[in-house]
Amino acid sequence: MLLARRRFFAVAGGAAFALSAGSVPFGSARAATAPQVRIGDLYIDPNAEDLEFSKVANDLNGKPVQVYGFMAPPLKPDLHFFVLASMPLNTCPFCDTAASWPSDILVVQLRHRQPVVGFDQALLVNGRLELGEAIDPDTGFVSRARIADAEYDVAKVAKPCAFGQTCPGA
Amino acid sequence: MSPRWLSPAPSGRPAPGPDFLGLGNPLPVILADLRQTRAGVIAVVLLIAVAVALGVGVSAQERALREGSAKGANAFDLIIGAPGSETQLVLSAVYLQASALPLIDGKIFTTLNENKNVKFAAPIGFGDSFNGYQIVGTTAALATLGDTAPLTAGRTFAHVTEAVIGADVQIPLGATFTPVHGQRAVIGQEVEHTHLQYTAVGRMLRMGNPWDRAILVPIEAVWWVHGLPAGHAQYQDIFDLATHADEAPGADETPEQHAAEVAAATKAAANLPIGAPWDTNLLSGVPAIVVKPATFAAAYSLRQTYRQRTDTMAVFPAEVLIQLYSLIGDVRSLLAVISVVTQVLVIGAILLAVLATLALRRKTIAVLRALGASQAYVFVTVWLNVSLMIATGAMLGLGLGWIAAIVISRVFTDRTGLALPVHLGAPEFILAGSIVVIGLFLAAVPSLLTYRQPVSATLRQ
Repeated sequence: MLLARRRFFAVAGGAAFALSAGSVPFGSARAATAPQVRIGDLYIDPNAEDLEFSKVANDLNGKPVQVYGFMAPPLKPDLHFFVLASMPLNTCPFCDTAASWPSDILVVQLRHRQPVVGFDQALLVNGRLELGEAIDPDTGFVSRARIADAEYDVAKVAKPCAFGQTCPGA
Repeated sequence: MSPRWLSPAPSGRPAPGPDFLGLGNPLPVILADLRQTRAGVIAVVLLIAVAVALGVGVSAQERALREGSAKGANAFDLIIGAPGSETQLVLSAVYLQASALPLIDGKIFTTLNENKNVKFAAPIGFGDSFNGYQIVGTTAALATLGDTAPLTAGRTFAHVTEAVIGADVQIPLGATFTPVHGQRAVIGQEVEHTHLQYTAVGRMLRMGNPWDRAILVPIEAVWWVHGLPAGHAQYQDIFDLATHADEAPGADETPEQHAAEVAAATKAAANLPIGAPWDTNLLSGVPAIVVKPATFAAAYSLRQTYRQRTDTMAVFPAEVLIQLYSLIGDVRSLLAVISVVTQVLVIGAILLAVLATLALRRKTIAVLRALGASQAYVFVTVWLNVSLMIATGAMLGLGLGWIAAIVISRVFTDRTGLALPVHLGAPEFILAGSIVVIGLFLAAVPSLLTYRQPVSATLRQ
């Protein structure tokens, strides 16, 4: 019964997302205004040995942002945080040969627990960007960039369609 | 004989107890009625209790299993092993479920320990046991989880002959014991490694997993005792002495001579070095390596590095646990459906029973009405009667389910060493609460039926 409830939330979340116009996720008004950032844009050179935050990243530090990404394999079974990667690392064996991995990952600290979604699902994460080294009190791991107070939604993906057409849902 | 609740209150004094919505106090009537049908009431309450307990128990137990296994794996962030089953690797390394894991190169953990993004990397080597406690060969870093879990007593091992014991191992500190081959020795047929005896020197912090029943010894000891290169040249030098001592006394030697050999081997062993620096040419294989990365990025890059190698596999225990949880979750949902159906059936059966007894009680109710009780009073009396049974049953079921979950957890912990903390959470209260709410509504059905009974017609029958 309660698992059903959990699923219901997942479905309800997805449905609300589908209902809301365009790529704006359901719910908060701040989400509509938060600027979108790409994980790769956070650093001047994601492939550099010594990662330096870009101007875009520094400007948005402490502000609400939206980031697209994929959930990396879970570090802890208890999902109050997860790691967001720019590519679906669990399902794309060729994606992670890139030198930038795993420097350009973001630790997403969830506001409240959310259902686990497939690792191949694109996510849209809403939250506050936090830069600089910090130690996670629960795991003892150091992170460089985080999205705090976050919520995520499954991003809408395009349905397959014939050549020459604009696919629906894109 | 007229029922007790029909005896009139002494005149001039109001009936004792609270006045219910100006209708008069229904409690004496309800209590008298419950007393009269005691056996039936107890059966009904127990039926509801068992149905609710089934749902509550399954729900609480599933959460306990999830929380317990997650907590048990907390100290293990990344496990490296030979390519094969991820589940088996995690079960072996984290929950110490014995299985024959293929070995990986021992150099990997020494290399990892030189990585600045690694807090510690410790090998895990199984094989021996003492009195049913598994002996695990590792390095001192794992005994304190890299100085994050201080020992509760004593110190970590500093010699190959010393051991740190888990929180639940019943060996006093300072005691000396001889390991036997394998996990479970046949009593009287133990194959002992006589040339190596361990002395317990420290006790680990409670981890809530099977490591609480493990004995940690230097990995060198496990290698050496099995005749493998032990990471240091010194072990090679006294190898023959040790092997000889380990064999049964030969025909050409007296028991005294053999005892002297054993003593010499034990004495020599006490001076052997353990831990870094290692002689990398003399490192033997290990079944698994536990790694504590320093950063999130390091956790993922190490997982990546050792996944890309052909001779190793790296896995976060969480990956395996989440797969396991979804499986357990499926079973739980199935059981939840069964339990809901059971509860519906039980409540349905109870309503039927109430309706049946109401037919028998039709006359007394009519008498009650004739004595001046209002329709509302009769309604409230019957409704409270049924509701009281359902609510009591649900409460009892909540407790019963909780106790059942605790008992199952105890048995599980006893068998596996994995602590499963049971506590009732919102889902269980919602479950029991919804049964009560549904019951309160359904209790109105028999109440309404009696409410509509014509008094005079019934009295005339």
